[in-house]
Amino acid sequence: MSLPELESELEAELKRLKPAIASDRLCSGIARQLETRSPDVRSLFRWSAIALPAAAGIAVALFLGAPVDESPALTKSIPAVAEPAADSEIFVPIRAVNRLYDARYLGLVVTPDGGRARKMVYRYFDTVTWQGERSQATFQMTVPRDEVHFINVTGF
Amino acid sequence: MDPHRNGTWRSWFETYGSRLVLYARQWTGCPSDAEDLVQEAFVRFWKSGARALAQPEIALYASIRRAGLDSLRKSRRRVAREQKSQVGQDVILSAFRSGLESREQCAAIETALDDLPREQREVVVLKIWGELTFEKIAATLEIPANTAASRYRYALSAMRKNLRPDVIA
Repeated sequence: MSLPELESELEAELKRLKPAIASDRLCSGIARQLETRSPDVRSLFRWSAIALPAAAGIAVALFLGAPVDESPALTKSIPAVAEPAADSEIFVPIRAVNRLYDARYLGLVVTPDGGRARKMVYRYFDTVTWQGERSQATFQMTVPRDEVHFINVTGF
Repeated sequence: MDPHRNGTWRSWFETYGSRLVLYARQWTGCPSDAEDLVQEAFVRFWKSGARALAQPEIALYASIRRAGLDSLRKSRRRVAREQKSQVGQDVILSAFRSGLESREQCAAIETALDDLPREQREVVVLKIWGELTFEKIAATLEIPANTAASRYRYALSAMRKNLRPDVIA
């Protein structure tokens, strides 16, 4: 396969990726700044009915996503220095990215103590870049990782 | 962009919102920062009346770019203060929704895109997802069209080298 053909295949793959949808938080932020007239009460109610729960959902997701350091992230399980190879080249991690691509609410579950908890699953691809100290050569390792969070429901 | 010339800001935003956020992410690692940047730039664009121009998308993307460059200058100062560890561990919300059968494939492409120099990456984003011609990209970035085209070719070539063959196949 020729070079231009390979690149047009890559171009086609890139075009298959669709950008993530802008959040309701952004849309309502722009609305606040551009719609200065006092809006019709019914349309405000209708808009709020969609935007507020969505914004609350995003806030909860961000809050739950924040304590990533407490979870067994990939970079914590890798040693600071890899095993020396036969030619004594030592590779060290220089960059780690945990890419969150999906977050889902899986419903209420009953905990062993009889309480109730919300079950959330966060799906990541963790990519670690390693670099050889001598040759400066790099390689990347990507692994999928799921985090399951249980959030106690304390009552309403 | 003609169908939207007389449209409301919402109709514009429905069409361009996700593309603008993707473009804004070239300057910010954090999706919520990118959305703040889009909000600032979009409101400025809309109030300026630039949508009446012959090629309003150039003004729209240029507005995002100016806000992005300002944000980058500020964040460089902040990062310099906050840089503590040798290995940075970032949590990044994927910039794309599911469009590929394999999530791994999507992650590999996204990482390859992230690894491009910024000036090449922004041309790729404007060309592929902004659907701009090289002439419009050139006007947005204030560079010659030939430079835009060559940056695009260099970027695709670099990405192809960094991706495993099965990711592209």
